[in-house]
Amino acid sequence: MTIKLEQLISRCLAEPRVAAAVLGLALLSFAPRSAEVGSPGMVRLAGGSFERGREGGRADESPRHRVRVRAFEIDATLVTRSAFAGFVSETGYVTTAERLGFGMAAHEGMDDWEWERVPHASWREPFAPGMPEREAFLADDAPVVMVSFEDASAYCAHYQKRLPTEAEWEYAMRGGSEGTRYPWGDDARRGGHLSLNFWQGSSHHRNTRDDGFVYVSPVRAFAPNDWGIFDPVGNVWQWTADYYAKDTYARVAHEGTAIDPIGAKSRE
Amino acid sequence: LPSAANAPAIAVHEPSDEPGSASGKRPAALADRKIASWTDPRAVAALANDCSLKVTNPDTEEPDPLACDVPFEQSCVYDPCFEKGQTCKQGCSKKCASCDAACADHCATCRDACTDGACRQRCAASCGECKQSCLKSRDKCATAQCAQAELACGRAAKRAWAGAGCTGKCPEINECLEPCAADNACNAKCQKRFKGCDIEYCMTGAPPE
Repeated sequence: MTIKLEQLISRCLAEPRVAAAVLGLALLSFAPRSAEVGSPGMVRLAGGSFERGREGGRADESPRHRVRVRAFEIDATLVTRSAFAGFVSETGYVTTAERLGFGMAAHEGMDDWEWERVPHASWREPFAPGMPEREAFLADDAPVVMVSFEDASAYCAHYQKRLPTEAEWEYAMRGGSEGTRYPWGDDARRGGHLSLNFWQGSSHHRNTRDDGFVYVSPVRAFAPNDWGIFDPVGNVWQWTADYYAKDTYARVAHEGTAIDPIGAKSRE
Repeated sequence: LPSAANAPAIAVHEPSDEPGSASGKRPAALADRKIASWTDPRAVAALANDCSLKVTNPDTEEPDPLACDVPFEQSCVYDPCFEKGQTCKQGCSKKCASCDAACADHCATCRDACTDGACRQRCAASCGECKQSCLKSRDKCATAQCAQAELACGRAAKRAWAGAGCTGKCPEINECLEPCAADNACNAKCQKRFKGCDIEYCMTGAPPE
């Protein structure tokens, strides 16, 4: 499966209140797979564990190892354009792309892995006027895109939240599933329909639009996972809090069950 | 914008009102926006004054939208394919610089034949488009082409690793390497023992398997 190249966005995580944290820790021994309604727009997850990584895939996604995370709340949907606009309006925040004067974009017709700098592109207007399908990015319920790690972190911090770690993110997105390609199984289709927004086509020269979308889709366009989280896979790339290191999985796998693992200590 | 010694940086931000220049007054909306393209009227106005205007990235992590430079990245773990990708990207940057220089030469030739500001402005506009196309080619090179090179390298490394029977050998290799520290002869002995396996992969824990 190829996911779309031109978008980056996040969802935020909130630490549970003390009582919730205690409850979460107490429940850990029962390895719960439950989710509750959390703060507005968020899903509260009890702590638990899951198998992370897979053998035979990318070198940085192996070895497979067990990960345990504490209880937390996470946004049920991707951050929308409307929500991000509210943040900017409240704070006057200027995104990285706006500061630099350009955004990186990929569109239908380009080669695989090709990106280009688009002068003055930003979350406000990711695609230049006249580009086909650009309206999809401009809907209030579209996921906000062209957001850097710094932008995503600032957004979360403003609402007293933070980005999820990769482990927390995968735990939440899997929604209790283990060992399957998608949270609902190994087939991208459920009930005969594609259940996520991804690129269909043998290359990025043409999207065959089998899922109904070329680029982004509204954040509730597809059914959520079993824990009520939308877009657990597909639609856009999502930021997590960890810094990347190719050997992270190999490093933490030696610990037996990794408890709330994080990636590299710094971006260096 | 940092620039070559003979190309005042201020020229890009504050184009002069050279007599005969078609730059005129900057539109208010443009005045507040960073110059992000060589086709921006302010950049064109600057090029009308100086075809050889160059932009290089400042000594920060933030790339300049007009510069050919591609930021150099480093991997903390041994990964020859990542290095290959980086070498490829630096090559794209050099090609862009050559392309940019050719645009400037063409602009100078064009400009030398001019007798008025309007002509110089036309040359500058053409130069701006030329320089912007260099950046577009650089982007394609540094993304699509270098990604393909890096991916192909990764697939080859994976095949070579598996083909030499190295899969799952890192614990053994590391056991051999453990007493070596900086002893090159000892390390070489291990490399010989596990012939065909690039033992560097095991030292950083991310073999291509």
